[in-house]
Amino acid sequence: MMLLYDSEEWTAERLQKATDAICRIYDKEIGIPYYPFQIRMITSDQMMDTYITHGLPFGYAHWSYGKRFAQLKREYDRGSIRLALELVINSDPCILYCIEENTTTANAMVIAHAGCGHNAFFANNYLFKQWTNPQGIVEYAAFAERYIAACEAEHGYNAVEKVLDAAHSLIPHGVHHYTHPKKFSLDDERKRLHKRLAEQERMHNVLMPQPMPPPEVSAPKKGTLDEPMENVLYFIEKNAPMLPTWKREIIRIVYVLAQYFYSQRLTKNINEGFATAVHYHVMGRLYEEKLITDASFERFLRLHTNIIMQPDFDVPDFRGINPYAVSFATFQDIKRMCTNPTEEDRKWFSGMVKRPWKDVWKDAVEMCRDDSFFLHHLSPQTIRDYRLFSIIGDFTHDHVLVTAIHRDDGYQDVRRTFAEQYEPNRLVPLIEVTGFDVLGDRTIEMRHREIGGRTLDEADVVQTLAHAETLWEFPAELKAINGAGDVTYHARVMNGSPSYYVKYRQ
Amino acid sequence: MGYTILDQRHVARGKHHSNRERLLRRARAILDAQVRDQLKKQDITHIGSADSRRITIRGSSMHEPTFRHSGRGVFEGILPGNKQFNPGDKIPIDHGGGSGGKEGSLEGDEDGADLVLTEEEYDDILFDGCELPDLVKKRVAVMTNMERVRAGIAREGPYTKIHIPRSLGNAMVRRKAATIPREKKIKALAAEREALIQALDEQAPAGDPRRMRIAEIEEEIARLRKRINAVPFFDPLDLRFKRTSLEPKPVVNAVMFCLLDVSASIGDEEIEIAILFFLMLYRFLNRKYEHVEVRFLQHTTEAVEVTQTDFFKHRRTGGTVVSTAYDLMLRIVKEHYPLDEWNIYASQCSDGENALDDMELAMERIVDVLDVTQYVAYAEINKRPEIASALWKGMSAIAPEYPHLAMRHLRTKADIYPVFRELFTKGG
Repeated sequence: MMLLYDSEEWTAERLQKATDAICRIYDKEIGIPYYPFQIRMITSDQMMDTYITHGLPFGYAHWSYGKRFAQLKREYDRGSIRLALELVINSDPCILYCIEENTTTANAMVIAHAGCGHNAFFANNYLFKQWTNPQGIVEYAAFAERYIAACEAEHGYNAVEKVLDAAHSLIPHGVHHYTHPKKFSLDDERKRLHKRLAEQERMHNVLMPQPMPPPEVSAPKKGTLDEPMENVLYFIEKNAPMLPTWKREIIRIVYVLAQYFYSQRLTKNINEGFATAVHYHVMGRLYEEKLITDASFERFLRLHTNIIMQPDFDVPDFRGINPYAVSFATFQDIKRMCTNPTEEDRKWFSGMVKRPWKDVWKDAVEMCRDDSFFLHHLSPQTIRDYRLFSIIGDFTHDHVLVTAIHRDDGYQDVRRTFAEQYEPNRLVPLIEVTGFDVLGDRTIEMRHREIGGRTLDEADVVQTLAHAETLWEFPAELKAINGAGDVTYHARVMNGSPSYYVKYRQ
Repeated sequence: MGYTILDQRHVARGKHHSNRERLLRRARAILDAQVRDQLKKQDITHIGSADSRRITIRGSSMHEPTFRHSGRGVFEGILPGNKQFNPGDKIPIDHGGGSGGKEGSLEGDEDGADLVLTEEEYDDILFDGCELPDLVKKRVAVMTNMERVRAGIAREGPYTKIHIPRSLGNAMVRRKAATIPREKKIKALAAEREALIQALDEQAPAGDPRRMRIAEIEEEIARLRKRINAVPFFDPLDLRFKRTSLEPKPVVNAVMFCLLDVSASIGDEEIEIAILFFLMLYRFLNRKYEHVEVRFLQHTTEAVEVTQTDFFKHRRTGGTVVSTAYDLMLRIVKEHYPLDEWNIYASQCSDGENALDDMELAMERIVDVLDVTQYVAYAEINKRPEIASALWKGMSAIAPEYPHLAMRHLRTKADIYPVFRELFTKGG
């Protein structure tokens, strides 16, 4: 067979040949369907721009993005190839980005990784099907960009910045976890906007001025919610008594985008592991079929090794579990177990080892998120390979306790603990709106359910409450309640100043 | 499966400019402080160099708070790379700065950003709020650039200049004017028809005039509807265009005279401070103003105008006769800068010494200078300002009558930037 490309200077033609081969191999040997995709060639500056907006080609401007851009640029200048692999969005068609400075091999890897891997993951995983609208997201992002720019022109930078700063602080708590609102539909958004714009046109009717329509949201009727609401931004947008329409719309934009990216947060590990496994399989096959040179393959291996590097905990480079590493190893181990299972594999995964590995991969992609993926697929072999061990303790004390290691009596616990790291409530403290003081000063009441004595950072709590007050336009308060029902912390912010009713015991 | 390849490298989006702009605006206070600090420590000749433009933005205004864990409390985690531990072993935590053991990374270092400012951004911060005071005289030069300005609305014009909101507004008004009266009529007719239909149900005859009336009404309604539907969404009469016209752009003329004492009485260090002061002034003028001329005058016992390059290479010989500098400046002004068209400024750096027999003349001349200028900045380089120099005494005496004479002392290099700002800030 002929080489796909004979030079590391990429051209559109070389990339095309490579992509054709990649897709052919992927379709035949892995076969999980994906959206049609667009490969966009960009410069490294454009890449960093796009990275800030998580790959969306549009996005509103904010100073925190300027800060991230500067940080990113530094990391990229230090040679982190991983940034390039993560530049793909959950959309139909799927958009991925190849950077001008990359070699043909690196770009081929990106295409296999993102164009086939991430793309297929987005297209099939249940969380994305449930919470996102890939057909409409790009247009929505463009709308958001224009709308916020228009608000800046009309109300000034500072006013808009204030709202955005406040909304950003509540992004981790601006998503629905459990309740199932109607799936976001661009059509609905359009209809809603049209209705709003029609109202505005009526207001500006030069021949027949009409009285101002009543504000869209009437005063909230209840003070306490039947069920606590975990999406704080949503609650504020729907119930803030006096918020002007433009501010409401901005909050809405922030939480719609947050919800869109929420699924990605919960599947970061499995998604990267899968995409890495895909690129590893495909590039390996390209080499076997002699479609790429020894030198290219070696270049690929170096890049690949760099990506899945997992330093040990006692090494200065250690920065936590690399999302590419253990998850890639897990996917690879599934392959191994389904092709050549050992006694141990049969004991641990009796059902799985009888199935073709690509079916197991497909099921994982469709039905798992990070915690469930590891819970059901992390193998003792992988635990041994990485010598994983579980610990428990308070890191502000002087020691932690080892609870389980890579031994027969420890694998189950290690696996469980590993999976639980990615439980949504672990990543982010559980905060809910319980109601607001309808008869009094309309304070919005929030509650933190404290688990394991894990307290909140007090300085940040006060600042975030101040931001909540900015949006809600009335005071904001937070109570932290532990497992026994005791209030461990209670603070309230009014006009930006905090009052403390209960402080954490030291 | 299907894919396409798009080359977007040429698509200039430059989104990071708007983000960067907002970052710099927000971090303004931090940037100002850093730039000021730098100037105190570094050699001021390096202002604007790439090194000096390297800024670290860190601080509370960069913090993005959120409800997050403090790190206290019981956490379970997984670590890779077990070498020797067994269940039940304790791992000590090094709080002195080792990395180890932390399950999730905390925010610590992430609240900062390192940037390299561009020269424009740097100068913006350096000279934020600085301006030439009292820049009032404007003149319309014969050979100035003409400027295109918006001049209202026209009914005709090229299609590139359509004023969309106006045009659509007119269209909307026209549509409403055409449809609303007809809608009203339709409403009235429909009401009439309803009434007739009600009345008719109780009796049944066929050739009843009311039936005919109902038929008439329905015909009329159909006709009106047709007319309403025929009202075009847009009519060429609705079009409005943006109008522009050429207008001469008035040019502000200003000239700054830099007067430097290069006599032997000035030491090496003093002259360096003076040079740096003028460097800063020159950079400021270049950055902020398009049409400021700068004239460089050096004097010892005689005054001479020099080029910019020579000005910053000093020469030192001879005694000090300040009045010669003022003389020269006044001569140049008379020859080249008609007072009704030019804003005249002067900045002088000196150690305050002057030949004793020249003091009277010098004071006369400085009054002449003050009479023709908008603003005079006198920066005296003097390590012992408590001992008033000859010039200082002289100027202080006349200062009350001339509020646009500003006098400051420069003791060390660190004073240069603050004094410069004092001399050239709005309201300062």
